[in-house]
Amino acid sequence: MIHLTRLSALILLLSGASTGLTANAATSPGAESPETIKPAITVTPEQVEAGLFFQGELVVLRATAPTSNPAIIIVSGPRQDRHISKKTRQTGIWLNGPSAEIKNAPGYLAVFSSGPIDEFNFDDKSSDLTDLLGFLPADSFNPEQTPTNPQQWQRAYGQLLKTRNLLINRPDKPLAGQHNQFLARLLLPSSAPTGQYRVTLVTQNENRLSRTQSQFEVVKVGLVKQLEQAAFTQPVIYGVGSLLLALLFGWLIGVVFSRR
Amino acid sequence: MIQIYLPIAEVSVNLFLLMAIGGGVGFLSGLFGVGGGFLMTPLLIFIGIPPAIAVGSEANQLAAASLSGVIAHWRGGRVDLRMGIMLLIGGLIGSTLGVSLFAWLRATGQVDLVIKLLYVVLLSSIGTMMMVESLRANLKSRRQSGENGSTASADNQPAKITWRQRLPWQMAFPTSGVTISALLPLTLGIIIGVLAAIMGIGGGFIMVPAMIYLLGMPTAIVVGTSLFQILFVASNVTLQQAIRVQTVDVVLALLLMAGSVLGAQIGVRAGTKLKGEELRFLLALIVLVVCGWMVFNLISEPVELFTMVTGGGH
Repeated sequence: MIHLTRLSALILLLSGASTGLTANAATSPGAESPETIKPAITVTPEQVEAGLFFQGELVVLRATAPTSNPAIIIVSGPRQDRHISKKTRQTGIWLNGPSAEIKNAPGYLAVFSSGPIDEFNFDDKSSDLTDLLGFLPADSFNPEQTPTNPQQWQRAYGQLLKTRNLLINRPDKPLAGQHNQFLARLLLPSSAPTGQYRVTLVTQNENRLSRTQSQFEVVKVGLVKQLEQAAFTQPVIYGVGSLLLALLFGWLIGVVFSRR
Repeated sequence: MIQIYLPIAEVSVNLFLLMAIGGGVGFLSGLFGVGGGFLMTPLLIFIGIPPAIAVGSEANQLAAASLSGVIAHWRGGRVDLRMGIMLLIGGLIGSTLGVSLFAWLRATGQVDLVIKLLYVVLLSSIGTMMMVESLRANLKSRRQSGENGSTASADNQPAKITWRQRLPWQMAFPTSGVTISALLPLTLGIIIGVLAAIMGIGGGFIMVPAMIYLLGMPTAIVVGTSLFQILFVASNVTLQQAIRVQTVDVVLALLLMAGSVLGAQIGVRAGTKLKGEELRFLLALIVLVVCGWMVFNLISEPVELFTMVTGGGH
């Protein structure tokens, strides 16, 4: 339980009410014994292609695990350093105040749980749950800028992700399981960062923790990919090209309208 | 609803919404000779474009819109090339100084406060001054037309400034019909350049009133000449942003352009149908509304107390 303090602080604060752990943990009659089921997770599609008309995509996560036991699926997006600043009121005016830098923070997080995470009785002291779950370890802050209240900044980061639809946690809709199969649908928004997404299935059998991982990737394709590559690998050509295109466009419209 | 995924901003946006924003701001650009950055950037951020991408891409579309406007004004003989070049030289000097000043302010940690207060002070003083003057000019025009029975425009020379003739380096600007010291447009250009570098704007909404009241230029010529200067500022910003920080999203810029160049043309035509004092009144109104909105944002509690910026590059 103590391992989950940070996770709980972030998730439960954002999520509000929780539901019963066993509500959806139904075991079908004649199902295999939990010990004999090997946990597994598959992701469809394995590659999400962001083209010019990309509007986000539905990613389906299918997990095999004993439905009689609790399970969590965590989707953790590409990691990047993040700077967060807090607005403070100074002489009646709201201005950017203190700031913190979070190292390697996941750009996307989704958590599907068969029940309230605080009720999980993880007893695997050796497992690095914080890292496993993709949340922010205590040393994630820039040492030169470690804030006095790290949890406040972690919560703020979670809230910022949530308002951008980049943190999904729905305790009101627990992960539904039937016949030792769990199914979660993830509507990935177009603002989800490109890169590798790690999908982790965490299951608990008695006090033993089991982890299974899979992954999918969000990649830019076609014109979007070519433009991005040009912008970052050949910025001079990209910049001059963008400007020339703008000037050509403006000139054409100007000439056409002036003749009318 | 056609959604387009922007390659650099990494977000999907509605095609028609972007074109409408571009069209609206382009209309104002053509009508008043302002770049519209002070309106476009907040609107883009509001619909979910990251601020840095909004600034860089907006500069790119502005280059297109201002060129389109300059051509229209040029053909109508409403661009004072000589004055524009003087302002441009001053602008280049000022923006170089401004970048250093910006770095110093940032080091002191007061850049946010300075920018916001500068905006409010400049917008409120310029807006109020223009509003009062344009109302006076309008009243005067009506009185004159009533007395003379004529419908002559009361444009040109909103106020006579005799001290301008006493400055050295007097230079004739035939297109504007004024003879003033070259120091005036140079100094104005430097001031605008400094402000543009600190505030991240083209400076049109400051430039236009200053050209009218400080340089004594006719409103009709001011709009075309301001757009001429903005064309160069926007082009420079586009290149700097694309090369240094890769924040120009060409797809976003093209969609904004499609709307703004059309809007700018309509704005230019609408502008020729309005009297100078009417144009100044409308611009003053917009400037004051934007100023009020900024004051509200400064003093009201923000919806999000925390803000996030991505670190570590792409």
